[in-house]
Amino acid sequence: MEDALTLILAGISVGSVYALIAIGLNLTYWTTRTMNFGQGSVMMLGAMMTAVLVAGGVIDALAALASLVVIAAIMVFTEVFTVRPALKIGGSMGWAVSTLGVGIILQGVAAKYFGSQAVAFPDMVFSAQDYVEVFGVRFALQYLAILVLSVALVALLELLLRRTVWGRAMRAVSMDADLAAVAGIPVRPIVLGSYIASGLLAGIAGMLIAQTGGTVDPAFGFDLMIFGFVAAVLGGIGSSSGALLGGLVLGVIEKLVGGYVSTAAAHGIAFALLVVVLVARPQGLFGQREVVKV
Amino acid sequence: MLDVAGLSVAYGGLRALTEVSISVAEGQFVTVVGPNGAGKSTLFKTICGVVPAQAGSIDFDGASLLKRPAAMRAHLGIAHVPEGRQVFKTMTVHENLELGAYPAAGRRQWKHTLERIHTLFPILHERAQQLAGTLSGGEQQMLAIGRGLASAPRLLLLDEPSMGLAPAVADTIFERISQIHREDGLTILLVEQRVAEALELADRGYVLETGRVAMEGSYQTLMADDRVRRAYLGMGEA
Amino acid sequence: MEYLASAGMLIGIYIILAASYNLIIGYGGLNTIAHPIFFALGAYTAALLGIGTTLPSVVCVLAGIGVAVVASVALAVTTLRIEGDYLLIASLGFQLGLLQLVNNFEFTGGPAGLSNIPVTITGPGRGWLYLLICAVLAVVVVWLIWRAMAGPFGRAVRAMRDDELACAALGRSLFTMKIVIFAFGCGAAGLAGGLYAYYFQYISPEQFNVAQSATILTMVVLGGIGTTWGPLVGAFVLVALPQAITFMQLPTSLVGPLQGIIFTVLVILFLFLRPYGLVGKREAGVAH
Repeated sequence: MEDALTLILAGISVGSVYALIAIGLNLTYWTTRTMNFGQGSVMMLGAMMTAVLVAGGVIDALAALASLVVIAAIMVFTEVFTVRPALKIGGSMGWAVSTLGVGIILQGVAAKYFGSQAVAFPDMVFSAQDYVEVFGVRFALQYLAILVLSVALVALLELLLRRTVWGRAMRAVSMDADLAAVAGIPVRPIVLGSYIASGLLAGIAGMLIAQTGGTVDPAFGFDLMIFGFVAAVLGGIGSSSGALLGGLVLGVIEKLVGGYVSTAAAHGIAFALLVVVLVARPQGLFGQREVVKV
Repeated sequence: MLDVAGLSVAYGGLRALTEVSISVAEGQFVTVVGPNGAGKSTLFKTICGVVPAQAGSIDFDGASLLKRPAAMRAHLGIAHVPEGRQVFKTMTVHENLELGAYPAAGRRQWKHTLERIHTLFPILHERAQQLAGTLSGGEQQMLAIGRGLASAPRLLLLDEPSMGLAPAVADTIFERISQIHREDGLTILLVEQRVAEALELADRGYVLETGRVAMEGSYQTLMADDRVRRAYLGMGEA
Repeated sequence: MEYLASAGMLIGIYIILAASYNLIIGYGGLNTIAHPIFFALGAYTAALLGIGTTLPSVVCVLAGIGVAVVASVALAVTTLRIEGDYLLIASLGFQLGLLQLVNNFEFTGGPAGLSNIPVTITGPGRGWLYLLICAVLAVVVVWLIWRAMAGPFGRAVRAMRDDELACAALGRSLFTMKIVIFAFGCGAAGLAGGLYAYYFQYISPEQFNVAQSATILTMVVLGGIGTTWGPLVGAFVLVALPQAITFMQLPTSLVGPLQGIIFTVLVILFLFLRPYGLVGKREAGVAH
C-alpha cells in the first residue's frame, strides 16, 4: 500500500511535467498547426546548460534563468527561419524536417561542447533524500515541489489564455488566423510568442525531469518529448486541462507499471495505450473535438 | 477617404480583378454589386490585406495601404466583416466583441461602443455569455457586424451581410446597417448580391462584372439604367 | 558491383516510398508524418512470415502490403473525421506507438530487429535480379500514380485539395477519396518494406523512426511536392548524398549531426529559394 501511494505520487509528479511538455506542443499546434520536433533538444539544453553553469559556480536560479533566455532565442530562430518560410507553401510540411533538423544540430552542439557523457544535475530546492511523512507514508519533497510548480504553471497559463487580451488574441489566432488578422490582432507576434512560450515550458520541464533523474546527457530529451506528445494526444490537444489530465494518467500508469511489472514494460504499455486511444477515441480521452460530418 | 485605383489581383492562378478603381469619401455609403464571382469578395480581401495586390494602389486617408500588413490596417480604422458570418465559434459572444475591440481606438471607446452595439443588436446583450457557435445565422451575422463596430472603425467594410439569411432577417440587418450610417455617420462600403436593397441604401454604387467596374453612379443613375434593371433587378424596359 | 546493385535497390525502394508519400501529402493534401511505419509494417510482416512459415516470398510481401493497407484504413477512418489536421498528430502517435511496441515485443526481435530473414534468390546474379524486380515495381507504382493523377480521379483529388466545399458540392465523397489515397500510398510503402526485408535480410526498429520520416519528407520537398518526377529526383539525390558523405570518411561522431545539418540546410534553402522543389513549377506546386 505504501509502495503504491509512493508510486502514484511519483507518477502524478512526473505526469505534471509531461503535461508541461504537452502544453508546450499544444501551443504551437494551436497557432500554426505545427510542432517543434526539436523540442526534445530544447529540454535537454535547458537542463544541460543549467547543470554546466551551476557546476561552473553560477547561482542555481541565475543558471536556470540564463538557460531559459538562450532557449527563448533558439525558439525565435526556429520560428523565424524554419517554420515561417515552410508555412508559406501550403501543405509542404517542410517545417517537420527543418525543426527536427534544428533539434539534431542542437544535440550535436551540446555533445561537442558539454561532452556526450551524462552530467550531474544539481539539487535545486530539495535533495532526493528529503521527504515528509504523512500517516506513515513517505512523500519525496522533490516530487511534491515539482508537482506544485508544474500545476501552478499550468494554472497560470490557463489564466493568461482565458483572462488576458493576449490570451484571447492567441485563442482567436488558433481558431481562424485570417479572421484574427482582419480584426487587428497581430498574428505574427502571437505565433512567435507561442513558440517562445512552448520552448520555455519545455526548458522548465527538462530541468524538472533532470532534477528527479539526477543526470542529463545530450540524448536526454527525445523520449521526454514523445511522452509529452502522448500526454497531449491522450488529453485531446484541445485544452490545457486535457493535457494536464493526459499527463497525469500517463505518469501514474508509467510509474505503476514500472514499479510492479518492469521499467521496460512501462514504455511499451504507455504506447500501447496511445495506439488504442488513437484508433478507438482519436479525439483523446478527454477531448471534445468538433467532428466533421463526412 | 478610401481610394482604390487600377487595382489588379490574381488569385489561385486566375485573374480576379482587372484595373478596378473605386473611391469612398468620408461619411459616404457606397455599395458594390455584381453577380457571383465578379470579384467582390476579392476586392475586400485585398483592401483588408488578406490577398496581395498585383498592380494598382489602395490609399486610405491619402497613405498607401499596400505595404501594411492586415492587422495594421485594422488599427488604421478599417473594420472588415467578412462574408459567411465568420465569428470565433468557441468563444462567447462577449469575448468575440472584446476581440473586435483589439485595436487601440476600440479599446479606448470600449464602454461606449459596447453600449451602442447592444442598443443596435439587443440579442447580443442577452446572449453575451453564450458561445458564438450556438447562435442562429442571423445572430452570428449581427455578432460579426458588432465585432467590426467594436474596433471603433472609421470605415466599415461589409461583405454580403445578407448571404444565406432568411429575407426577414436580412431586412433587419439592412435596417441596422442603414441606422449605423445615418446615426453614427460611419463611412460604409458594402458588397451585396441583393442589388435593389443595397443600392437603395447607398449614396453611390459600383457594378462589378468579371473583375472589372462595369458601371458606377448614384442610386438614381444606376436604377435608371436598363442594363442594371434587366440584369440585376429582373425588370424589363419601362 | 554488388555495391552498385545495393545502392540501386535503395534508390528504387526510396522512389516507391517518396512517390507514394507524395501522393498522400502532395496530391491528397493529407498531412501525415508516419510513412515509415507502413514501410515497417510491410517489412516486418513479410519478414516474420518468411521466417516463421514456408509461404512463398511473393505471398509474404503481399501480406505485408495487406497489413499496411488495413492499418492505414483503420487510422484514416477514425482520424479523418476529426477537424483540424488531426491526422498529423494521430499518424505521428501511431508511428511512435507501434515502433515502441516493436521495440518491446520478443517476436519482433526487439531493438535488435530481425536478422534471419531467409534467402530467396541465390547465385551471383542475386543483386541484379532483385534490382530488376525493384525497378519494375518502382516503375509500376510511379506509373499508377501518374495515370491516376492525370485522369478524372486526379482532377477530383486536386479539386478536393484546393477547395473541399466546392468539391463536396460536385458530389464526390471526399471521405472515400481520402481513404483510397491514403490506403494506396501506405500499401505502396508496405511493398517497399517487403522488398527491403527480402533484399537486405535485416530490419530493426530504428530504420523506421522519425528520422526516416524526415528523410522521405525531405526527398519529396526537395524534388518538388505534388509533381510526378520530383520524388524520383529527391530519392536519387538523398540516397546518393549520404553515400558521398560515407566516402569522405569523416569521424562517426560527426556523421550524425552532419546529416541532420545537411537535411535541415537543404530544406531551409529550398523553402527560401525553390519552394516548389527541383522540378516543380509554381503552378504544379501545392495550392494554398
